[in-house]
This record gives sequence, C-alpha cells and structure tokens, in this order.
Amino acid sequence: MSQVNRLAAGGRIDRSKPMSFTFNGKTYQGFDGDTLASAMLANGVGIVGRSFKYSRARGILGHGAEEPNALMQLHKGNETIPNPRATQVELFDGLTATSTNGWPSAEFDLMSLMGKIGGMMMPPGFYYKTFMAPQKMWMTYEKFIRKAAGFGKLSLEPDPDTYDKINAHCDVMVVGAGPAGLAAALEAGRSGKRVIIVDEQNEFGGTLLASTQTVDGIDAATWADQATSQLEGMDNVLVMPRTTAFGYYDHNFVVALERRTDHIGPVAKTGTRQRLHRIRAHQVILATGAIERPLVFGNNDLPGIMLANSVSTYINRYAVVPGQRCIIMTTNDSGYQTALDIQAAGRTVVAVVDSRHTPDGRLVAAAKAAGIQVMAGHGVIEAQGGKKVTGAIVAPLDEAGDNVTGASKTLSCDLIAVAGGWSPVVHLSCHTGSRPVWKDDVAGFVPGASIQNQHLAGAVAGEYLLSEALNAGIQAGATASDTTSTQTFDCGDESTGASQALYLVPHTKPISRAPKQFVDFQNDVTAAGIELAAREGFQSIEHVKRYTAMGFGTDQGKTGNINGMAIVAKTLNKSIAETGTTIFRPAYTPVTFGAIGGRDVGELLDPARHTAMHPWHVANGAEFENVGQWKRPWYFPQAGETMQQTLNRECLAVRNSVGILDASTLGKIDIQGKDAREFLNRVYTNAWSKLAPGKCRYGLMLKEDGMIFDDGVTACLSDNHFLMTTTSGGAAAVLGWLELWHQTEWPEMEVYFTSVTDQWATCSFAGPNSRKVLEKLCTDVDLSSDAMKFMDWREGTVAGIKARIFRISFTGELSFEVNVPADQGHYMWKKIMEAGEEFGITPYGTESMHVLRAEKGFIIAGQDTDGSMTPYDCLMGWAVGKTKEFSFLGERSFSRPDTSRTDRKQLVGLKPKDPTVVIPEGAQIVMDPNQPIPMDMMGHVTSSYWSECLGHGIAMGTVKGGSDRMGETVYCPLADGRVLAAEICSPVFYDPKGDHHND
Amino acid sequence: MTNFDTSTSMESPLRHRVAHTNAANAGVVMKEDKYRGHLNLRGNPQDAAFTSAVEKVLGVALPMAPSSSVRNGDTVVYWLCPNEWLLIVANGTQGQVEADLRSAMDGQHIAVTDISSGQTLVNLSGTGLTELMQKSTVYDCHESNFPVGKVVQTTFAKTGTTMCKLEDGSYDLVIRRSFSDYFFLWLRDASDEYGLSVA
Repeated sequence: MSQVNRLAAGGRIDRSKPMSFTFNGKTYQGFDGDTLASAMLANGVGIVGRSFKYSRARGILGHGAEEPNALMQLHKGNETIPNPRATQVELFDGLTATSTNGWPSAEFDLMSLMGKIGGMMMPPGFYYKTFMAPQKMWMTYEKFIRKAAGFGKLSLEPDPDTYDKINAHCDVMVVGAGPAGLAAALEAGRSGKRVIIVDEQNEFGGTLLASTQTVDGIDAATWADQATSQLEGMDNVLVMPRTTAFGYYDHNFVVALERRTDHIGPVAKTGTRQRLHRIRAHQVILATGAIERPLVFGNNDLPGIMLANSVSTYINRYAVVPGQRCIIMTTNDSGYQTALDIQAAGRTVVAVVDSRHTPDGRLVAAAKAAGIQVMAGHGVIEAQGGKKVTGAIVAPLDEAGDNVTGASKTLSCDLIAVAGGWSPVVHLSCHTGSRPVWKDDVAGFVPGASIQNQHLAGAVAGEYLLSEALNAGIQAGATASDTTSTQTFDCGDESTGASQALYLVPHTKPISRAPKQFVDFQNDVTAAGIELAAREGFQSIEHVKRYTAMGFGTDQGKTGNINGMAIVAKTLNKSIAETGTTIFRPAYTPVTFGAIGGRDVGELLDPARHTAMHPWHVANGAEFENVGQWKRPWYFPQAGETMQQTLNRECLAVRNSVGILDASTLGKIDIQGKDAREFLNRVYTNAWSKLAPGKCRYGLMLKEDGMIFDDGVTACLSDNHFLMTTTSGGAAAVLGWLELWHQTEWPEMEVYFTSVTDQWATCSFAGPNSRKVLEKLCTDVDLSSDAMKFMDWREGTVAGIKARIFRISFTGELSFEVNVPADQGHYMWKKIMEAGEEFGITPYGTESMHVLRAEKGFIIAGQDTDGSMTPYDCLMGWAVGKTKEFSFLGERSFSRPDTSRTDRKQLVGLKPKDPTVVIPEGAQIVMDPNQPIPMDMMGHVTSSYWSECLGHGIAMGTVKGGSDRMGETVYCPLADGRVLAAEICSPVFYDPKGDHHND
Repeated sequence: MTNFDTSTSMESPLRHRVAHTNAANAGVVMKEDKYRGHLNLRGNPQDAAFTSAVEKVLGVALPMAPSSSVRNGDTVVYWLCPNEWLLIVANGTQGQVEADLRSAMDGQHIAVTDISSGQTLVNLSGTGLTELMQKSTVYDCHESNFPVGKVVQTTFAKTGTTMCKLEDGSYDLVIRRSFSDYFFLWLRDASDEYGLSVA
C-alpha cells in the first residue's frame, strides 16, 4: 500500500472508494471521506508550501479552519480556486492541487537561500518603514515580495460558476454541530421551534467524530450519527453541513456560506456552486468550539510539528498516523490523549514532555499505565531538522515555565505533537461588538457579555469536557426555546488536572538569539519580532498586530494570536487580561466574492424599468440611456449615421414637420382632495389658486433653502383633482417630499397623493405638423388653436381609446402629449406612427430632446441646476408667485443675504464666438484667459450642443452676475490648451417670442 | 371619422413572456391574472359614512386589521396602510366601481385612483415556491408568519411587491408594470433549478 501512514482499519473513510489526486504534479491515492490534508499525510507528504517571508519549508499544522500553512491552489485554468486550506478540502477523484508558494517548487526552493536576506530585509514594521522610505523604491520592493511569497492566484478569466443567495428565518440558530451544538439543536428541535443548525464540515459531529470517549455508553461518533439522524427527521429543523456561519451581525442576523458542489468537482454541473444564507434568528446559540494552541519554541515551524488534537483527529477520523516516532509536548491533560491514540495506532511514543511538574488526572494515569514515558517539568525548547523534524531538544523548566533549569538532551523523532491549551472560537461573538474576556481558569478569552439574544454552549465558553459541552448544549437549547430540561450526559471524563498557562517555551538563549520561535506561521511573525515591536514602543495590542502583521493572514491568527499576546504581555510586564486581545471581524474564513454577489450580476445587477413602448424602441434600433432605473431611448440611429447626424435629423424633423418622443417615464402623481390646490400653492413657487379645470401650469419646486429641487407641469383635472408630473429620476423623491410635508406639518389638509407613473403611457409629438397628425386620430376634441390653447388639456378619444391630451411643449414647437392607460400605450404609439407617416414622423430620443429644449433655454433640473440654484439664479423669477396668501416652501430663504446678493452665479446662454465650436459641458468659465493660475473661476458650462437648426453651437452655463453681463465675452480654458471664447446671451436661442408653441 | 378596431390594443405587462416554459413538471408555475381592475382607495377609516359607503359598493367591508385582506367573488381588497386600500376587481369593471364609489361618497374626503394599467397581478405556485420566495424576498413566508389572507408589502429581489397568500398555498403578487421585465428575468433565473412553467 502506497499510503505509508494509512492504518489498515478504523476511521470514517471508505476504503472501497479509492480516489486519486495530484499535488504539485505528482499523483497520489486517497479515499472517500478524506480531506486533501489527510490524504497528503497518508501519503507521507511533508512539505506543503514555503513560508511568506523566510521561505521556510512548512507542513500541515492542524486539521480544520485554523490551518495556517496548507494553502492550496486548486484546479486549473478558469476553474482555479486560490487559497483553500487542504484541511478543509474534501477529496474527490481527479482533484489537482499545487502549493500556493515556493519557487521554483515547494520541495526545492531557491528562495530559502534568500531566507536570511529576506528576513533581514523584512523586519517587523517592514511595510511601514518602507512606505516612509523613498516612495520610488516601493515598486522594486513590491516585485521582490510578490516573487518571493504571495499566496494563491486568481484566474483572469470569467468565473465559470454561479452563486446565489437565500433568506432564511428561524427561532433558534445553532452554529456548530459538535457535541454542544448537536445537544442544543436536539433540545430546541424537540420543543417544536424552527431550528437551523449549520456546521462547516461535511459531517456533523465535530470532535465527536475523532473521539475515543463514550456518551451514555455509546461510542461518541455513533452518538453523533444518531443525533444527526434525529435532527434530520424533524420537520422543524434544517440541517446544513458544509455551511460556514462566517458573519454575525446586529439583530441576530447570521450570514453563512454553503459549499454545494466544491466536494464534487471543480465546476458545478448544475445549479450554483455556493449559496449565501442570510439567516435571521430570534435566538442564536454559538457552539463554535475551541482551537488548540501550538507552543512557541525554537524551529517550531518544521514540517512534522502538529497540533496534538489534529494528530488525534487524523488517527481516529481518517486512519492516518502522520509519524513513526512521536514526542508530545503538552501543558495540559489533552496531550496525553494524543499519546494514547498514537500508541493505539501502533506507532512509538518517545515521550510526553509536560511543562507541569506534577501532572495528575485521569489521562496522565492512563498514559503512565500504558507504559508511556512522561517527562514532567520539561519542555521542548527547540526542534531539529531541515525539511522535516528529526529531533527535539528537551530541557527541564522551572515551575513557572520561565527558565531552563538544567542540561538539555536531544530525543530523535519524526513527529512532535503540541498541546498548548485551547482558544475558544470567539470570532462570531466578536462580530457583534462584544469584546472577549480573559478567564484564567480557561486560560483563554471567552465571549464577553452579549448584546443580543445569544447563548453559548461548550468549548466556546471554556466548557472543554465532553460531558460539560453536552450538558451545556441541552441547557442552551432549552433556554433559547423557552423550555427547561434536566437531561445530563455521562462521559466518564471527570478528574482532569489543571493546565499550565504556558505560551513561549524558554530557550537557553534569549529570545532575540534563540532559533526562530514562530508565533504566526502564515505571516512569519516570530517571538523576537513581537518582542522587538514592544521594545520599539508599541504597547497597544492593536498596534503590535498592525506593526508585526500578526493575525493578518487568511487564517486571522487562529492559532497564533493568543501566544503573541502573551509574549507582548510578558515583555511589558502585564497580564494577558491587561494587554487584552484584538477582536475579529467577518469573515470567519474567506468567502468567495461570487457568493456575496449572488445572482445580482449582469442583467440582474440593477432593475431596468421599461415603458409600454419599449419593445418598439428595441425593434427600431434605439440606443438607450439610463435615467434613474429607466431605460429611455437616447437616439434612433439609422444605418450609416453618426450620432451627431442622427441628432441633426431628429431635431430638424421636429422643427420642420413632426417628431415623437416616449415621455412615459416622467413621474406622475395623482392629487385629490379639497385642499389639493392650496397644497400646490405651498409646494410650488407659483400660484395655483386660479388654474381652471382643463388648464396646465409649469411649476418649480424648492427645498427649504430656496434651491430648485424638481420641476414639472401640473394639470387641473377638476377643482379638487390634479395630476402632477415630475422629472423621470425625481418621482419617488417628490412623492416622499409631498408626503413628508402633509404628514408632519400640514396633516389638517385634506389631500391624498397616489403615484400613477406606471399607469399612464405618454406619446409626446412635436412639430408644425403635430396637429395634423392628431386630427387624423381624434375627432371628438376641437384641436384648433383657438379652442385648445397652449397649456390646455382635454379628455378625448384618440385612435378609439379614451385619452388625456395635453398641449404642452418642451421643444418650443406646437406639441401634444397623448396619455393613455399603459396597457394601450404600445398600440397608441403605433397608431400615431401610422398617422404621422405621411408627414415623415420621426422618433427621437432624450438627446435630441435635450438639444431642442436647450435651443429654447428650458432647464433640466439636475443638469443645469445642482441643488445650489434658486429660481432667480436661473433667471426664472417669472415662475415665482409674489402675492400668494400663504408662503411656499423655500420662499423665506430668498431673503438670506447669500441668496439675495446680485453677484450669484446665474444661468445664462453662451454663444461660441467660433460658430463651429461646441464647448465641452463642465468647462470652467473665466473672464481673462491670460490671468495667472489659479484663475478666478466665474462659473461653468452646464449644457452644450450643436444646433443644426441654428447652424452653430449653443450652450447654457452659470456665470457670476451673468444677468448683468449680457454681451460680454467669457473664455473657457480647456485641458488640451485650447481657449474657447463665447458671448453671454439670453438662453432662449430659438423663437424667443414663442410663436411656434402658441401656433 | 375613422372607426378604430381596438380589440387588440391591450398589452399586459408580462405579455411578451407567455411563451417561456422550460420544464414539463415545473416546480414553479407563473400565471399572470392580466387586465384586472386595480383601484387605489384612500379615506378615513374612523368615518362610518366612508366605510359604510364602500361596503355598499363592494358588497364587503373594508379590512381594518393591518396586513389583512377580504374577498367577495371577483373583488379582493388589500389593506395597505391605515387609510389606504388596494381594490382588485373584475376585468373592465374598474371604471364603474370608481364611478360608484365616487357617487356613494360625494362630498367626502376620499381618493379613488385607477392604476389598473400601472401594475399586474401574478400568481405563483408549485413545489419550488418556498425556496423561490426565500431567494427573492427577505420576508419570512413561513406559514407561522405569513398565513392565508395576509397582505405584505415587501421587496422582491431588487423591486417591490404587495403579496397575499391564498387558500391553495399559492401567492398573488402585485408587480409594477415598469419593473415587470426585471421581475420576470429574476423569476426565470431563480426558478431555473425547479423548472418554470408560464401558464
């Protein structure tokens, strides 16, 4: 059997389903049920990558989310996935993996020769110091750094996979399906509550799956399987394996990533690869467990040095023993379990090296009874080896574990299992803003007081014994479900000895001179580096973190952080509680951006709103413009036309015959009630008291500061009934504005507002022949100039359909707007096109509309105004009522000194001196182009177009005191060095008397 | 005067989607209940003259409990807010209902607005409906939170909807016309794994 470290029996792997995979180009065999890491270890793969800074050989340290070293590059080409941990990758047949670093290979690494140089070049604070160095050197440094280390690479091709998001709700959410989580979910499930339980692994059970203990006499893994089956059988419980709750937010909002197909193959064959679950829970039970800490000693990063608990997990769950001759270095009883597991697997336990002078407890006794050598009061102070550990230097320590007290000796081994105590997984609790609290009896940080409906169960709360965790789970489940339970479990795990709080194992040499003692493996942060940071004056743990990059990796320092904090505390002569901890932010483990985007990509990124006539526009080749979320026809190019040629053709059609525009997107608000008229008086600048039914009026709407906010035409339908139109993008804001004033300031006014934007389709057709077109379709309304004047509206029948006809104009030409229910909008449009055919009716888009209205000097709120312009600034004092009974919104602001001064920027027309020139919109306006920079800016160009009808460029712009500067010449200096001259003029370039629209 | 044949003048918001179907035993079935009359009604619920006049016209009392609805034959009334209701009536009757309401409440402070063309009623059903709704709305559609007859105004993907749970377990959704193309694109995508049939 080529799997040198695989046991013949045991474990939860399926030996009948062999799977082959490649790692760094070499083919290996594993079994169904393996992780990539367990399969690599089974095959004796030692080196999985090279370290970030020193290019040291690194092996697998852990067995789960805590793994700092075994970052993989999976799959090929556009399917490639960077940086998953081999410990969390489920093996499948055909899996290909490579190391994420190591050049030219992880096994033979040229950069390791550079390791010392790299280390010298990259002391703690390297980045900060480098940024302070000459900036031009950074590019050089960066190249070196990227070449030397860096982790996985993204494909530059589009991701072949899709992702989606789903919302879920429950009474009780359980995070983690280890003993505590399973017990909690069982209790909550039995109460009938809606329960969701998630676990990041493929199987529920957590530590139970690798335990040799029993639960009420049942084998632990069997108990886990039974519990899982029970949960799966409950209709009110949702069981989600392969799902990581990675973020825990306000109001018990938990976000979890479900990996749906990653365990099957590189790309999902059907459905989405991953799904983001957005879970809103009434109660959340965190049963997230604890992560074992490594110990900090010389060369503690050599391949073959692993977490003791991980060694046990590989043996019991995966039937893999990652060594022949093993030394266990421990500060607590749990290391003895690993010694027993190794021995039971038939491998040699050289010694258990225990920093405690008088270890006792059940497991210590069991190990001694099994004939295992226990070296109490000793520590592994240094590991030996090159690409793999070959031995351990063991020395006696004093009681406190601060100093080496005697001669050391070297023991040969190929595996050092390290048990440095446990760190509760406080990450999710931290996400809610709760700071972890140090507990001496736990020798770790536990979640602090919760600010939401959060419960803890098991190792996350420092309840490390199996029986404690199970019992706590039952109680948390009961509490979260408003029930009670007296159920307890017997696991025979009482009488555990006290653990020693040891983090850095002392060396015979001082920290700065000892062989490298690693704290954060992924970022190559050493004890010496942390000590140096403290010596350089960094006292806050947050500063030390950022200075040394400790905990910055993709593992967020899950193994190293507490050790680092302990070293800082010791250097500063403080306790860990005083030093405190950094806190964690989402995500607990890295999350694919694809999952965060979900299906909100491509055409689903943002809703596109369409009018009833949209299919016609598409069929007739319109180019579209986004106006808010609306897709509006921008222009209708014909074959061979440039955009400008299209605009010229469209504009001339309106001026000379007839053109048609889809104006359905304008916001429309139906206003009813006996106070509707007075309400309009208050929100518009002009007077509405005398507007008769059948008439329309243009209105300007201001914010309280007197600045233009929106504009539009409002029609009087009957005495108590009006129809207001707004800009296409401003409809929702205007309706909100009206409701705000009605509900908060004038609730006594009898008026109701209803949005009818989507109800009506609007065909706006303009030009000298527009009346002739309408006359063909409508015979029950007298459309003559005398009977239906400019700014009149009539109800009538157009093409057999009941319609509202408005005689209003945004082009300056004779113009009609036919409004019909949107269900009939497309039909109406086609009928008008048919009727207009003999006149060459021409569809035009928003761009020609902009040109046509600019020729008339009509503003576009939001283009020519920017929230800082009053009606007077726009030379629209004519639209302000001076004699209204009640004030109107914004009026009082006109008397503010700043608003009433005469040298404000005012909107004027600008006629380029060179008639062929179109000044760029946004160009700055100065009076003297030869003045020194910075020039005195007088204003800027807000709208500018080529006017085919006038034969020259036209523009509108703001100029300080512009209304008193008619005829003066201004200049627009451009970025390309040109200076364009223009004359200030009236913004009404076309038909200043209004003969056309009154025709 | 030209006589116009307007018999084919109507196009419902989801009209150009009728052909889409991708599974014989689709887990999601969409049916547009097109051209229903939709009337928005505003009035003072404390005013007995108002409530009794509406009841007389509709043949059923306005629902007063938040998020509730009532039905009477083809007429459905959704509570939208304390002084606003959505009346959904039989095709083509909205003009008569509006006129009846206005004459029954002449002189009162009310508003009746015809919005039949501005929105459409869509019925969704099928075995994939629960998950489809979980993908599409943040609202908790579990029966404990969204019982039969309840009316909820909430999000649907990146647009909004007013929806009601029916006796048969299906949902009626009111969708705004201008968002209906986006609604359908979303629906087609989100229902892909269950199969979509457009009835």
